[in-house]
Amino acid sequence: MSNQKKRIVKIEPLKQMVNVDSKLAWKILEDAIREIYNQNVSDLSFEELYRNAYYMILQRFGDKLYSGLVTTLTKHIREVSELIEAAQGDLFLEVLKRKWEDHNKALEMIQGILMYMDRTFIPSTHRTPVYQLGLNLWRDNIIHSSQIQTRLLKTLLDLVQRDEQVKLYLGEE
Amino acid sequence: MDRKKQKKFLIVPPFKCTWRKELRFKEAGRGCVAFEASAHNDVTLVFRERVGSQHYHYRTDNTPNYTIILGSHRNRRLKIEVNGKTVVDETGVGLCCSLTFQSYWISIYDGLISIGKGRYPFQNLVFQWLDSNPNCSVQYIGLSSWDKHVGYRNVNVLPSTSNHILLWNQMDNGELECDEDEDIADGFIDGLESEDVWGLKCFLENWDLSDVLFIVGDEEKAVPAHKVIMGASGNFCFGSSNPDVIQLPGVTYPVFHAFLQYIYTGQAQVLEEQLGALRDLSLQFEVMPLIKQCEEITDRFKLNKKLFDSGRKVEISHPCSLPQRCTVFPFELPIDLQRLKQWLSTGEFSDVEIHIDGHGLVARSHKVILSLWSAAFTKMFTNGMCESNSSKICLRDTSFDAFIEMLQFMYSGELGVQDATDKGSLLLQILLLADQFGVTPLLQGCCKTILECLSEDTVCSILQVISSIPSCKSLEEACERKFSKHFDYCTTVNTDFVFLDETSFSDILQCPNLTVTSEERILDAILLWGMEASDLLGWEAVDTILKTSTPDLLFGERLLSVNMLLPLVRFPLMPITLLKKLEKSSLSIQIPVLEELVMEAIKYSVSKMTQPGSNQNVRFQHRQSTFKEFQYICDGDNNGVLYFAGTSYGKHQWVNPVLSKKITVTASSPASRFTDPKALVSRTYQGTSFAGPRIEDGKNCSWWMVDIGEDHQLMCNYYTLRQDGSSAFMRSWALQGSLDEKNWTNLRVHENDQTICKPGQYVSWPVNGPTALFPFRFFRVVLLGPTTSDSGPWNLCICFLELYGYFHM
Repeated sequence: MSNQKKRIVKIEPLKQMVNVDSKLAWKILEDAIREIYNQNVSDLSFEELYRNAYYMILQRFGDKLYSGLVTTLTKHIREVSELIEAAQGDLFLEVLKRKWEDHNKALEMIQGILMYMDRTFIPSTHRTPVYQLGLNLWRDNIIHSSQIQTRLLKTLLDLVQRDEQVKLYLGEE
Repeated sequence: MDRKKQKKFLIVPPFKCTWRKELRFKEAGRGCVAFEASAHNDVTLVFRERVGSQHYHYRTDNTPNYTIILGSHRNRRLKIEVNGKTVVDETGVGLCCSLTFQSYWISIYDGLISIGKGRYPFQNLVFQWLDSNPNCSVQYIGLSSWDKHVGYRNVNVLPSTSNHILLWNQMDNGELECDEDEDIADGFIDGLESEDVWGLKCFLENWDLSDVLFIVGDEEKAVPAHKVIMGASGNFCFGSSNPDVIQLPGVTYPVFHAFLQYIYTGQAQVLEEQLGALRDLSLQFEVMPLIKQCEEITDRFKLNKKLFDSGRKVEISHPCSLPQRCTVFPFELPIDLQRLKQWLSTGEFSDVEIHIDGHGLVARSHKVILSLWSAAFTKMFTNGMCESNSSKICLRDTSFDAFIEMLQFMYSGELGVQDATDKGSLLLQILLLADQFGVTPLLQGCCKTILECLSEDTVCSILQVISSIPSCKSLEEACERKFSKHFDYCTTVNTDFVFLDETSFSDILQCPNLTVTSEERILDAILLWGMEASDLLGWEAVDTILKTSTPDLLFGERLLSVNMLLPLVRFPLMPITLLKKLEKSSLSIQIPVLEELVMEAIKYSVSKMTQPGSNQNVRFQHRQSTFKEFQYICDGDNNGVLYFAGTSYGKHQWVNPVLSKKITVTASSPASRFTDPKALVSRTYQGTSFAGPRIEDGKNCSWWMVDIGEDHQLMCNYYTLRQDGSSAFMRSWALQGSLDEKNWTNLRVHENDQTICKPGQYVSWPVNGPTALFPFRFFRVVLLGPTTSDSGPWNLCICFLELYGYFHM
């Protein structure tokens, strides 16, 4: 009988779903990602960004959001890659390290605002999660970049060698 | 993924045993395991102090253990063995194995072994046995077998309830109603596992969102905590002079850690010699449950020195206040629920004001409470964007009422809407909100409530909302199944279904259980959906529109989808006359796909021959569940359902279907010479045939009722009655339908209907409106007011009844 009573609960349709302009929403997110890389985050509103990303997924603009993210991240990482390549001498490793740390911090923030996509869209479409995507792009565009790869290897080997020599020298002392 | 699958389904080979680290009681000697098992016999669970090997067998174990065997002796007995000695060997307790997965639970509490059936631990207790010499060290659970494979899945270990009363009370309750959908329940259990990751435990000694510091021990270690959590668990005098820092020089860090652990996770480990200090600390801050548990454990220890090796860690586990929901905040914690709820309204210790665009201030809340439910809120408050440094957040495009419900859920762990009928409309909005912020238990609660009150009238609106939410897949599928079972109803009562997205609509059309009165209806529905119609039209009306328009204009973006969906109509099942009409229509001319399908169907029905290979095509096959049409031609014809039942559904010559037991007829008064069930369907005129009144709810009530059989259903659209030889004419009555013989739906109500005016007169009426599309098993003609007779105004005097419509068998 109680079962019968429950059935009376009437579920009314939603009056209207919020309609979000996907272009505008993506613009907001794209700008925000740029600001995140510029480390101007304190003026950004998490609520606004999370909500826009959420509505983009809900209204089936997931592909647009994801491909936009890939493009923006790639573009940014390429810029970083140029900066690193331009760094001279000892600065090279320092710049590389600083940019890597910045990238990591930024990725964490981007992952935060795109959390809804990570939770729903990405598993259902079998894509790479945001954080992993950022790491992959870094690997492909920076670590595997012909300019950087050889130089990084050489710098590291030089360092190791210098280290050995110092040890050797100290040992002789 | 693999790991999860494994967890979902595990087969233990004969004479083997599976042990897992996580299959362990949190507290030795006390705990409950809930699981599903499938086997020929001998579902065997072993409980012992340490894990065993895969080749472990309880028969060869000489360390203390409990072994519980469901379906021993070729699935006839329940057996409990203690250290290899049989102590219980019972038949007929109803704890047998089954080849389909059955849910069981086993609880052990200081030697009291309780075994029950069903998905809800501590409910539906079936058997109980108390070990007079309790083994309080059993902790690990082994899943084992005898000579056959045993399948296990959904194995969950829960803390045991200390409330034995609760267990005993369950004895009288009947078997709990099982969900009709196995996969839905699975979905819930999956969710529970994933939800384990997030919770208040993430904030244990976490500087994030903390607002009070404890300075502990001689080393003055600073330990962060959250006022709202601490305050709701005990009495910390945060109001006094320096409320943000509390000095505890006399307390060592390990003890304080255990204390916090207990408050934040409901469990703690301490060394046995620290129990006293922990108790004193709890006493200082009035954390009542912990005081009680410390004292209990100390007493147990005093009673039985052997229980604990000194120097070993003692586990304390807070008993869950609501056993069914012990993974949900705040039931697993020693939190004062009333206090917490009160603080939501008073804003005590609040660190965030929530505003909703257009509503202003909604609540003064606590960041840590929002965060423990939702990773999104955690990020919002901690990732350095503007909300992190602000004590105010503003939410936009958020339903005020739904958000309030969500907040209340976050503070109470329960969905308030469950029993408030007026809040039903909110459910979908709460569900959306829960999904947006990833509050999984709330999402599950909403899904469950919606599922429980799912009806033909609501499926469309639910589907519209949830089809875009991936985490509601099982609810979505249930809605689609419901829709496809009531396809006629859902597509003819209103045009809500045109708002479904293509995937949902196409899923419905491809549902193997799609039940529909004719293929024409499917064609109509696809066309209506394609043109996003606001009025209900048949294909002929659409055809007329197309004479002066083009498919591009009519269907717009959906033309492609229409072309994809049309092949789901089984044109070959349509009557040839209809196909010929379709062939000549503008629909065919303008939509090549349709033309091709119609031509194919015509070719098939003319020659009964198809192109090689296309026989396998589902389009040529009858639907699994179709309705046979019984059309009213004239009074007393042979086209009705009751006549059809008399021919054993078309197999034999007609015999009275009551005598051949194809249908059952009953009257409101006992059977007698003039109240003869078989006479009503005998197809011969009866001078006197009536159903006399009985008193129901203090009122006179007369009826004739037909049960068309358990596996049969009828969507009734016409019915015929015949007056007997008397002149007691009915004036107010109703034809009603029912699925369960209890709840009746009016199919047609007659009020002061003067039609019957001669003895022996036949009369027939159509059943109009949406109720004609509801399939029912029971039908009755019930008198609503007195007849024209003065002597027996409550005698329902008819001698014949026939029903028409769409019959399903």
